[in-house]
Amino acid sequence: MPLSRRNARRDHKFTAANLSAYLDGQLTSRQKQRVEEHLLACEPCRRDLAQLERTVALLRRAPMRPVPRSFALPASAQSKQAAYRRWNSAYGVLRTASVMVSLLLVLLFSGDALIGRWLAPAVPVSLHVEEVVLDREQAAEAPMLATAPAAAEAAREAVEAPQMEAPSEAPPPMALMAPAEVTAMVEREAPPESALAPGLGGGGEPAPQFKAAPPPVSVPQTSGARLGSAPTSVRRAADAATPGGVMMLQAPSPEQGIAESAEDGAPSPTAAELSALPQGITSTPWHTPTDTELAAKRALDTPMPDSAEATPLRHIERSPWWSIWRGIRLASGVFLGMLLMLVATLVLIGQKRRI
Amino acid sequence: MGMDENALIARAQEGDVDAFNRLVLAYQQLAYNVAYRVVGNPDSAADATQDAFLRAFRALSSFRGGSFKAWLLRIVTNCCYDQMRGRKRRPTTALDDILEDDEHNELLADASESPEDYVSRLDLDATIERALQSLPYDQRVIVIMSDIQGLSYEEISQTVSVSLGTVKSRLSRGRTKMRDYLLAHQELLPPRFRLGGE
Repeated sequence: MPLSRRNARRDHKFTAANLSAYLDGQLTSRQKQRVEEHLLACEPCRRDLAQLERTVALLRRAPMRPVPRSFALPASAQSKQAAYRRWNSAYGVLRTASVMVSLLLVLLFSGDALIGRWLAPAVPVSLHVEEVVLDREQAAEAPMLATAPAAAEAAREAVEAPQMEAPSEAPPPMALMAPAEVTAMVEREAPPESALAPGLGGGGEPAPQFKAAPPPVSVPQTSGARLGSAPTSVRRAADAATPGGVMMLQAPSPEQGIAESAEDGAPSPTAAELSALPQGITSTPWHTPTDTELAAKRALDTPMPDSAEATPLRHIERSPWWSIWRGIRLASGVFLGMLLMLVATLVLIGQKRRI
Repeated sequence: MGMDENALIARAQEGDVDAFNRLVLAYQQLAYNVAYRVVGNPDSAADATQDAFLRAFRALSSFRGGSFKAWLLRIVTNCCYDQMRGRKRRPTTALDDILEDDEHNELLADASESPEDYVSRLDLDATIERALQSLPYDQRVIVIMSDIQGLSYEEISQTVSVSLGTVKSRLSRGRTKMRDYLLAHQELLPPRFRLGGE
């Protein structure tokens, strides 16, 4: 479309939309000039303007209707004005109170969030600690595994667990007395060929990742959820090995595991092997301590109270910050209720003072 | 009213009913006519007007200066809106009300006016009322304020609590609709008031 036609169309639209303002002198000088230039060239717009002028003129001729009666107020209106003034001032007070309560609520919620966050890291411990306490009680009945063969058995099971197809028990975290002993035990008792992933060297070869002596990794007690998913014998072994202290895990570093797997050219475990794994155990060519295990270990490092009833949860409850937090939550609820009542009252009073 | 008005308002704010009634006397015809044009019914308009003056007296303490007319008309339009909501029907008998209202007929009559002129004015009034009632509420109020009552854009903006731009656009659309209605019903207009062909 040629530019001139496009401009003409724009001017036409602009003029049609601004005829009323043009009539009332509400356009700027530039706008007024644009409209007048277009009117010179556009017959329909001139006709529209003329009709609009007559419409406005007609409306201005509309007769004024006389009042049917006097609308003067009776003397009793004075008391109503006084009552309205009281409602008005009550409204103002309530409105101010609502604002203040709202601000207080914001402060309380902020304090609640901050203190709750500060207390929060200790809270998950309680969930696992109670379970571990129960496990400890069970473990106290089990025979103590103080010998290397028993430790090696547990170690072998732990090694086999991540890769094997269907072990009868879930692989436990290894409870080792010493890295060298475990290594020796594992090498003597090589895992079954079919049960081992190729990454371990397959065919009865000892798991290469145990040849090295990576730094021991502690399994904290708070892996109670994980321990809970492990077979009872494993848990007993784990707990018995270190009845009151820290369990030590011997595990290869990920880099060693990768390197050794790469050397062996081992393929990944098959789907059948994966599906045969116990619940909760991830399939990896090596067993790497996870964040949960590390966290559990850290919690285990925390000395347990002598009494079985005194749990860390109760330690938290006795903390003064816990009381403050609970107080803040209670106050938040109270203030929220107050705010709701204030808002409801404001709405009611607002109806009465509406003009 | 100027200084007089400010003094009356000040006394009325302290509870002087007589001072306020003097203001009522000055503004009641304006208030009633706006109410009548908005609701389209004389009885509802009277109720809305009385209610508006009652509310205005009660809430006079909230008037902080400026245009008392705009402040008062704002209350009037609010009361009209409440009336219309309460009635829940559009006035379809405005013309009948006009023709049957003896008081209206008596007061509209002018000694120097010929019967033909009188009938013409009657027809014009009825047609204008019908045309106004065909507009949406927001546009109707602004057309009434501007073209029937002669308020400026600024006063309308204060009365209806909208921006100047909104006043312009609503007025433009309202006038366009009025023009279209009157063009479509030219037979209802006296010949000398007709808008002409399309």
